Amino acid sequence: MGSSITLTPGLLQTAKIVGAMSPRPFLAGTLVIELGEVYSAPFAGKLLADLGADVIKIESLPKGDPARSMPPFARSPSPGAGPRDTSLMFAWLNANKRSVALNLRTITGRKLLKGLLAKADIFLHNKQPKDLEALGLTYEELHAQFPRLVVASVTPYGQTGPYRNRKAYPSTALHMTGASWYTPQHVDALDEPPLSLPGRPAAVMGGLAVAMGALTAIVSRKVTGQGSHVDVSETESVMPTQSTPVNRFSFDGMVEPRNERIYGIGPFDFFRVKDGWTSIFLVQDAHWNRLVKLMGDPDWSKDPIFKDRRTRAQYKEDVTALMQPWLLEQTNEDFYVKAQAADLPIGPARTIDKTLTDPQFVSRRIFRKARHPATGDMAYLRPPYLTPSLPWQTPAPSPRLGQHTSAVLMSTLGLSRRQLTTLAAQGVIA
Amino acid sequence: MSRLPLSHIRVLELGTAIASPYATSLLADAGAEVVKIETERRPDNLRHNFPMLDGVGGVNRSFYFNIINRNKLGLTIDLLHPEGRAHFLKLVGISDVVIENFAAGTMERMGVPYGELRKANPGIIHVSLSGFGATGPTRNYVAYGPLLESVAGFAMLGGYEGGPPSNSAFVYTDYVSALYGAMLALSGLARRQETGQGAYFDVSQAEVTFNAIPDAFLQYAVNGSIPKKKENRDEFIPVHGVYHCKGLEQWVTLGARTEEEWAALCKALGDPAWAQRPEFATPASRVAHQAELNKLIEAWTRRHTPQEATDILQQHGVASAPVYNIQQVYEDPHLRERGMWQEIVHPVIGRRPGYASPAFIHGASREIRKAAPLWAEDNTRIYAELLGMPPADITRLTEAKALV
Repeated sequence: MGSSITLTPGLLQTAKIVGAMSPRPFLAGTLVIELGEVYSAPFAGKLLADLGADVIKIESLPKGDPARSMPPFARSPSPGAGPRDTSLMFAWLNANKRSVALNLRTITGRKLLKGLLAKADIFLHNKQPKDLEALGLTYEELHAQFPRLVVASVTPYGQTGPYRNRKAYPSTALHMTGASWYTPQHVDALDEPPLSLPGRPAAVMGGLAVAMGALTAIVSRKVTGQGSHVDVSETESVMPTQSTPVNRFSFDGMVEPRNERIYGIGPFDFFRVKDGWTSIFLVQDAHWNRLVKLMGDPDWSKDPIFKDRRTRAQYKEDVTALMQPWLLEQTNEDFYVKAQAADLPIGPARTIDKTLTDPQFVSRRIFRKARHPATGDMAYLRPPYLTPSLPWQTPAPSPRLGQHTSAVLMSTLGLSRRQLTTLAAQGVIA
Repeated sequence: MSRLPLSHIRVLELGTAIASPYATSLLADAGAEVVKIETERRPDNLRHNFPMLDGVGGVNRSFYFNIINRNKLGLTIDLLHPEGRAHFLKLVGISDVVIENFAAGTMERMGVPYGELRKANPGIIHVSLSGFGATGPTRNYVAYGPLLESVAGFAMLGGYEGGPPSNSAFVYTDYVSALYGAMLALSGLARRQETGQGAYFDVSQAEVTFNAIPDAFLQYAVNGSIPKKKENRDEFIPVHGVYHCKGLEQWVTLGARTEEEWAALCKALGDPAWAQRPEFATPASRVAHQAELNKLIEAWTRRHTPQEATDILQQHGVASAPVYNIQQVYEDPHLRERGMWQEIVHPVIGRRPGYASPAFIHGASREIRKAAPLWAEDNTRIYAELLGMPPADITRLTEAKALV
């Protein structure tokens, strides 16, 4: 049986191999124009900025990105910081970016944006088709003018299809994928509503997918010389996570009942310990045997019904009741060390404060505190990867609305001071 | 047919379960030639994941393995065998990316850490997706998805206030890590095409999970307060939730953030008298009286099906969607029109639904070109055609257990 994949000679040999060169950031020299609001596109812009791209954030006057008023807010902001400068979320999502504020309702404002797009490698946005048409920024128009430009969008439903202009927030998009159908962990009654997940998974996954798609287009452009249209839907970004229900549906046409979700193996759950909750999600009988040993080989564990992971799932309540007294004598972090020493997939369900003092996270320095001109105190979470030759740097603080308008318009578009004064008088810039 | 964007890229995957197999699927969907490398001693454990065709076990019968590993070639090599390792390094020499999700230190123990890969190919991009990262005191801890959600603080933010923690129920960690892995591989390729430099990325899946809850992190690390569970609320959106509709297990979700959206919501609900009550006059007062407000909204949604409610709300410009189960998702016309569902035609398990990559690039086909590889499916072609090995050598090294 032949596959349709051809075995190509492979290797990208467009650049010569240079041995011991000083490492440069991965996306150095890549100009990204971000017309992004709130989470998904700004998060993608952040991912690219973390990798060294030059990200210019275009904000619409008068108010700019609504995330400027997104909680949580700094408890003790710097004196003089305005109410729209103290969002910690904005500060995290938009660090290492420059802000250019334009009145996009004016023809001149839109022309300036196009002037910047002429210099850009990637145009990243989260506008729906109806807004793009109004702004004159449809892919067709942009591609005709800037054939090398990569246009990368992330919207709840994508740029095509009947829902393309539907309004949504990240969690409304999430609920449409089935991803909340089986949360929380225990659905006791069928009238208990599906529950959203922590963070904003649809915006996170959509943001990652569009950053990935934009880089795919950049790698492809080196070969073709052409830009392309990357069209990410948050909904589609979440869908692959639903492989288990899809496979079940494909297997026997069944939608597994929400209140009878049986993983088929046990123990596979959260359990109470002395000072909180621990997670005991065991997949192999060997795990169970090691846990039994850790519990001191109690007599009840000799019963044949507890010897098999499937019968343990069947007699879940009994197993829980029998384990619980011993577990309640354990403290979470000690039990973690003890269980892992026995090669068991057991660990504490932690609150944030405990996570931040975990020796592993401390050792890998996952965050850094720094001063921010508006929020006062700020803490930056390091991207979740290390590249030993390129140590992580404390990011430049998020910009004030329009902080870099003049500088960018002068340096990138060559405008003069006098032209800027005129633009300000016309209300195109602030 | 137009060229797929990554058709000039070759990727080697040493993966198991989801994190690196899904990362390389994303690259394969965009046209990369992905060689999935397994060994008899340690097949990808997803090959034994249920459901399996007719409920019968076997390496080529798992639905889950098929859906995650579409568009790849299959190869077996034993990296612990010196000849196996040597041939793997030959493949590295003619490849662009290596992605693996072994526990920290495994690549070293097998004699193929980044330093060795780099000797074989200075331009290679190596992405490591381990549970806790390559360094640190607990780097060798067992790290399955549910455990990582727990230790990273994600699970305690799930569920209801006062109740037990809750996981994502779908190994969120693995899927998000995969997206990072694919993105980082591409960023390495982007630099390499300018400078020729290779790269090594040490990704920690625990840190990936933590990066998915930045609001909770910021609230504690900057403001010193421990965040509460969000449940179905969103502190950025005063009116936000999941509401019962007509019938059992029928819900609609909606959100109204701005004053304009609140006005639109009131209008969609038929401008009820209660909407004018002073306790709902401002965003803050709507949050303060959330439980009561939700009851009033629900009295309206209960009179409609999720679809009707969504249609009315959307007509008025209110963010809303039906809450779907998997069958409803599967039947939804929007996802179909965009071609998100793509059939996977597998020689053993038949025609099965699969997903196109979320990184949709217009003009590039979203079709799934082939099913997941059968066990050792492409050994002969890869060893003979790609590495130019004479058939006798392939036979000898297979019998010597180097290439199994």
